[in-house]
Amino acid sequence: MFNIMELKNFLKLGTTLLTILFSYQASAEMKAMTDEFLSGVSGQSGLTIDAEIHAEIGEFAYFDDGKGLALQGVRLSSAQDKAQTADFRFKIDILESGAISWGFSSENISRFEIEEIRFVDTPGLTPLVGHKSMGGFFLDFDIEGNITVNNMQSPGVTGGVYDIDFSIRDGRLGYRTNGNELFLDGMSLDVNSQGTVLGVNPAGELTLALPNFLAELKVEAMRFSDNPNNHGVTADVDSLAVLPSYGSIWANLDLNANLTIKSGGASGSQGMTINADSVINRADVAWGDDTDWNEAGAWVGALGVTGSVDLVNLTVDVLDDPDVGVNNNGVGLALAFERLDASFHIQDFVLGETKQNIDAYVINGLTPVKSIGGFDINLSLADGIYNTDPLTNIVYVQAGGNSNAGYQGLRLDTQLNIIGSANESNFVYTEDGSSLMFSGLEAYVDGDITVDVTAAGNISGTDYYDGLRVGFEDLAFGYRVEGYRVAKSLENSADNVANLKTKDLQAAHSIAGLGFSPSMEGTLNGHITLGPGGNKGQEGITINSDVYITDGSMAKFIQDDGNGVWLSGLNYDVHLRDMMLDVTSEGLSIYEGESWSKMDVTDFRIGDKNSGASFGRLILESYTVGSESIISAGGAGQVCIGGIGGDSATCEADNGRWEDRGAQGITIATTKFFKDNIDSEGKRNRITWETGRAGEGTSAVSNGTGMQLVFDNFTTNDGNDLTDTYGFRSDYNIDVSSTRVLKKSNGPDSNGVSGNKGDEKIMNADGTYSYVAPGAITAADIANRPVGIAVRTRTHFKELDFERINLANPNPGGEVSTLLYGLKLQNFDITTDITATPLD
Amino acid sequence: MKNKFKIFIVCIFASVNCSAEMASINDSELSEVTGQSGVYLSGEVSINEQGGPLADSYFGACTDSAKTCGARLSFQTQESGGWFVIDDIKGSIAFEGLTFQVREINSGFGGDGALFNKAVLEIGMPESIRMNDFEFTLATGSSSRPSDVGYKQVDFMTVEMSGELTLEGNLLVFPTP
Repeated sequence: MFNIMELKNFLKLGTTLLTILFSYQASAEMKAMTDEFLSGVSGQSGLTIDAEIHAEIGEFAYFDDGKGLALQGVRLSSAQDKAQTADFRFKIDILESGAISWGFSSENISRFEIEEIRFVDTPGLTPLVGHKSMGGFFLDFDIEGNITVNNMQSPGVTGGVYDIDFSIRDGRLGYRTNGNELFLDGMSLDVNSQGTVLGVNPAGELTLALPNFLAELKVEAMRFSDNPNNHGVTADVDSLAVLPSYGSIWANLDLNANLTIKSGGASGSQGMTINADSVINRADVAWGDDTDWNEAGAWVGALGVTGSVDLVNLTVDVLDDPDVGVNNNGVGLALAFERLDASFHIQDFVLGETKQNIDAYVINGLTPVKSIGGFDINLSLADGIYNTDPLTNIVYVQAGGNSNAGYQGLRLDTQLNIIGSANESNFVYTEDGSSLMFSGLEAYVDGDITVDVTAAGNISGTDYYDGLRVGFEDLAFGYRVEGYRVAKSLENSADNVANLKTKDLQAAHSIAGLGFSPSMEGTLNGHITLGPGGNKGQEGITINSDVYITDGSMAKFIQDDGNGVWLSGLNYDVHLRDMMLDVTSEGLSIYEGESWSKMDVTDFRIGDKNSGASFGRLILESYTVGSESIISAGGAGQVCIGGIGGDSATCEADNGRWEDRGAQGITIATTKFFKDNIDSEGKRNRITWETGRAGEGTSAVSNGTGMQLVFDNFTTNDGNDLTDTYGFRSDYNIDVSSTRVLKKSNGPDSNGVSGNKGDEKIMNADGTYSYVAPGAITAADIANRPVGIAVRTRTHFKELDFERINLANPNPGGEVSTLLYGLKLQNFDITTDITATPLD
Repeated sequence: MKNKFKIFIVCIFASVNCSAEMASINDSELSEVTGQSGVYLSGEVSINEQGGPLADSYFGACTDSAKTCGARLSFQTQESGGWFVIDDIKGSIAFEGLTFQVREINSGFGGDGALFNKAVLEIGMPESIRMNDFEFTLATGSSSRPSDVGYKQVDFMTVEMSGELTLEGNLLVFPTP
């Protein structure tokens, strides 16, 4: 039985809570109260306390079964000068109701800081310089607010009832590793939580209930510094230049949540177990670029978010790394959970919108916004099996990031598993009244993820770039969907998801422009570094990345029986230099300074991904400079298929089929500039197909032993071989939309539904369908045509040159013969408009 | 100055049923196939219906009779030789009922199916194809670009197709590396 004494021990964070004070200075100066200070206190009966606090704590450690998580260099001081005090005023009053009102406010901007977070075996030992650390965090704040402590004996309530209301202004929240910082600057946070209940239930569990939690977060700029002299400053202390920014952040949250904590983790006798559930009544999240928070600048945002999160048995322990050898990274904070179910509905995902319009939309829900549509994301994380591997959900949070980046950093030894065999997990895209479900999502990751804030340079042979570096070390991963389900959407999101689950499963396929594959697996190494600043204006995100996928597979098409079109034996590396993301009024703009990639597919298979018949080996190499993409809201709109016409009448008069795909949807416009090879750097545009290899048709096939057909060194230019300003352009309009589907033969189809050849497929209200003769089609029938994925693609370029096309035998002494000494495509402007629906 | 000899072959398929009698796959030996779970595609492909992006001494707007507005593909089979040219490619093709799926072949084909015993790509021909002024010109050229100084081109023939086609049957693609 969990008794109060145990709870007290628990609140002391386990067996040993040692506070070793290095250079301890704590000066909480209580000052005499003046009448002026007391004037705001009701009935002059309260208490006002002015406190000037400068506190430094050498180490604050949490020990669990003999292993400790230590917060070192903990300090509360002035933000401007860490030698100065953080000043506060507290006002305490007893209200007529008997409740205690505790008001608080800052008298200056304070800083709370943790310089190092380490794992220790013994409390209080002076840490060695260079001993692995997670890095440091700091929070600057100017706080003002009030907590009302209500009657502790409220009937039916376990614990005290607190009404909390506070605001933080001029805040900063930062993460620092190895002298580099990433921080939220100009942060303001408003929190209101009425009726908060904190107590201990009869089972001895600590309980927290937030029945009315409201919060709004505003961040003027998310900044980066690579100058160790800087620490929580807006402008560089040496150059005085304003530090570069990733942009602004805004979030709005209305939720209610419950949380319980009980003693005992997953291992040993100590630790803790957390259960939590929350309902998101409303949330809005947005990222702004070069914004004045009104009409100027543009935002990307998820608006009108609702949902729920249910966390079951999250255990918290301090444990050794279960990995052995070089993969053992010592002790870490082990977070494991039995199950996590999360469902989110995003009413509108906007691209390139002003904050003024977003604010109006949030208030009235009616203001038109540049929306690509809505999303439902349903994820269920639990123990399961992916392929043949048993997987669970556990993350070891360890000290030290990438080994060459310095002693500070964060390492997440991660195993996470999303289950979806019963369609618990899925992803739904809804636009203009039609929905597409990526059904039965299953996914996992298993390996190490490192997080560092790095500065550009080369350390011990590893190239680093400015920004937040997320590294991958032998991270096995995989995901797949069982297929697509499509339907007209229902108003209520829960009903819509439930309705889609009843629809026929259709084959999943890659969607042009999105780069999505229905399945992908492999082992990931490399990094993605997110730096500040974009290609347009002052703010944005700059990405430098080198990622390597090995021993993988990728599906371009999967049927419900698992057969498909597979890229098996996949080795894929992608390199990005100065890829810059900006939000403009057009949408999300992506500029790629330089990018190159190589996709080497051992077997291009049909059928099973491991044993299906193979077309042979395929290698796709790409090298582009200065390429650009813009992702914007809105799809194809009104289109004429098979004819020419700007309206329904003229289109049909030209024997075309008029389709209105609505105002929403996704448009992706890309421009790629394919450049001449740089062999010394492995940069080239080339397509290679190899067949007739040694061991062909077996699992021991030997690449590089067959005959290769090589389309070599293709480049773009403006038709003059002198300039390349037009490039290779592709514009994709992606919609989920109804279309006409005709029966191809007489008699019953694969589902037993009969009709005649040429009859049109019409959906019934209950989700079934029937075939209707062309002469009997009504307006209602047309409104109930099947939903499909409609992609309109316009590809246009002035000139695309292939230097030569070779037949090559890569074996020693093998010959290379040239089939074509040049292949030139000029003045192309091709439009395809294809809608994919289920084959019945 | 272009030396252009045009031969027009105009194929007007006015509701012509192009019954490409690819043998229907009704062989009972194919009965052990995966159920229908592919995709049904409908849509159109249009090439340079409104012209292309190049504007120079050779290419231009479709309204300019002195210029070519279609796409152009050329290739050279001998080093320092001339170029084969498919020129002025334009028009559109609309279709309904093109299907795509993967199916197992484990019988039939005179016993070869059992030996193959793997999956193939099945491309179901669309019932309806409509071609709108689809045309191209076969030619040879003296160099790679028609805008080159001194460029000469000999046009052999122009093919133009318009009308309705009906195609039946399936195309099976057997991977054999």
